[in-house]
Amino acid sequence: MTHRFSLRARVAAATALGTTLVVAVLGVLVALAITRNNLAQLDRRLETATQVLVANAGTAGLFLPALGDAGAFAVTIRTESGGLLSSTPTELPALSPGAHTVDLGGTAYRTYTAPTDRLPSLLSVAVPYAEAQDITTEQHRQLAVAGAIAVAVATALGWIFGGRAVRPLVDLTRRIVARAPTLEPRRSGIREADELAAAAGDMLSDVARAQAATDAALATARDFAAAAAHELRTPLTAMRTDLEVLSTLDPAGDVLSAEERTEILGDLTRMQSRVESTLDDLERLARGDLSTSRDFVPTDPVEICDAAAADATSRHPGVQIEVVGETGREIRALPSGLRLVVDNAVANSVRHGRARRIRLAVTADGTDTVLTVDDDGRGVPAGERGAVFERFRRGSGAARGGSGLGLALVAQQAALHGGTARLEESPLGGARLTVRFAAG
Amino acid sequence: MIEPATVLVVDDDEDVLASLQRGLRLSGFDVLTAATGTQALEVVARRRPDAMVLDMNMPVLDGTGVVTALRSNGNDIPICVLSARSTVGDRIAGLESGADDYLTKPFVLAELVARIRAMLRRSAPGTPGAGSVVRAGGLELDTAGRRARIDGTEVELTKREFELLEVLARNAGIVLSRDRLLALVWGYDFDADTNVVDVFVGYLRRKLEAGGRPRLLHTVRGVGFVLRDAA
Repeated sequence: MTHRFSLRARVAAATALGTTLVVAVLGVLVALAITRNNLAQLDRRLETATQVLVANAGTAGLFLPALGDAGAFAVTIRTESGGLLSSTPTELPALSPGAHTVDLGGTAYRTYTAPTDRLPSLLSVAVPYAEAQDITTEQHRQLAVAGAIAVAVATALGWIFGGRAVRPLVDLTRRIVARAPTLEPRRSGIREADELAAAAGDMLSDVARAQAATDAALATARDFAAAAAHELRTPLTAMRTDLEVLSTLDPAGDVLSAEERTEILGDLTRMQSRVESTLDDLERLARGDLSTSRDFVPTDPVEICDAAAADATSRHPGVQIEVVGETGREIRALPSGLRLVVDNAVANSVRHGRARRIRLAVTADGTDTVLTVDDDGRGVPAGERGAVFERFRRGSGAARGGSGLGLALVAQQAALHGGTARLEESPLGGARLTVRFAAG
Repeated sequence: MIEPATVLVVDDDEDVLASLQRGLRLSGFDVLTAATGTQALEVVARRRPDAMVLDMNMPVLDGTGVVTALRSNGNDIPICVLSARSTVGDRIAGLESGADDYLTKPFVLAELVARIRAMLRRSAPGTPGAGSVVRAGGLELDTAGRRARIDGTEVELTKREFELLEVLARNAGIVLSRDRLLALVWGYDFDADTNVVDVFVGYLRRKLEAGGRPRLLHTVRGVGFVLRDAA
């Protein structure tokens, strides 16, 4: 369980703690100095008094016993061996020369002892230690009060400045919570807060950008799903109508002629394969969208073209397909993707262009590899050459039954390979499809 | 049967066009076809068909464009639009611009045939009797001029919207079921699988409640609709 404090409270507490430590250490040192100083002063006064008395030791010795000291001071003269010569009523013990603290009947006295010239003897002067102690205690008290005030002031300043330092953070939090459109412009003058605001602003704009990208992707997916549904519903509508004609309008088989029946069945078969090829192409599109860099392997485009040409020749017997290019030049590619491009290009030429001759060429252009598919078919009108690459967009001259996805798949594969696809006029008279694969 | 009615089928998909032509011909109609919106307008002008089956999703001039062009020329030919998407909401393209009904692809041919027949019956000439003015609450319907006013403000209504509102206004305070409204307004005497009544009530509400006017057409849950004055 961690306790949660505001940053401001932490700053104030840290200031208080720091100040307390410093004040305490300094206070102890100063207090010791005060104690020592006061004692030294007392000792000096005692020394002075002693010197005065020593000079008049003879006279003083006579009336010392008569002085009523009331415990406020004491003077005692003793022989060097300790024998009492004279003393005030408060009698001091035998002491060596110098300053001492002695205990007389429970009261501490500070003494100073000095030798006298006459009858070698020692004179001791004493005052209650409390005299120095009282001043010291008073000064210690003042010191403590000053220290406490210093700690309080420092804590208050910590609270005030801490609050000021924290304010930009509080402000930033409020703006983030309120989803402020921009966090940048308000300069707080506190570097960390400004840096945090900038970083948070960057992060929020990244999040917003990612959100926008997701939204756009979702919108594209929705449009695509709607378009795909339309593409499937259309032939299904026709199929349903035809089936109903067969089953309801001609239940006995005597309304339609044999030719009409054959025509309807032919239409149904064709539309069934149209639905199937639309589904196949949708699946291929989805697979293309899901391919990763691990699927890319060194591939020879000429070999792909050769294989595709061989298959296409057997499928379209009357069509002459030629492959131009040197084998051995490999690019990093999706083999199935390259094959899809070539297959779709050939199928388009045959089906929509009614081409009799197709030339597949692989050439190098700098570091790029360029695949060109030329045919002698009907070509694609200049105004449609860009649009036919869009999904479900058919050319005006397109034959019936296409999925509308063939060139969209070519464009998708080109993009997956970091390249481009475009349509032009072919020197053979029909259409030329150029797919450029970027190196690397 | 005297002379078969002529129906124009408009769809940009050859397969749909071919199958509908066959199906409607065998159902007893004379069928004309058009593959584009422009072609459709030409055929309507030249051959004057009795009804129209119109695909919404066509390049260049789409179904909405065709309906708008026909209605702004004062052509009242009954139009059933074909929508490719199963729209959940009430926004069916074409209906708002003046089409009479809609079907979602793929549909049952028999359903289309029944609706075309009903539309043809309704649009047979001679039915509009003497013009009269129907009043209900702040609503005022001039049936001869087919003009509607609410609180003195003119409201633009399509033919089908006006007919629906007229039936509800003539029966103000009486709850009419969807089937009853389909029979009275669309002439559907069969079990039609459609929410076209709800769609048109939605359109009428939007137009009648514009400017914050209180609701006039109320839904009676499980029963139908009623025109009831708020006051």
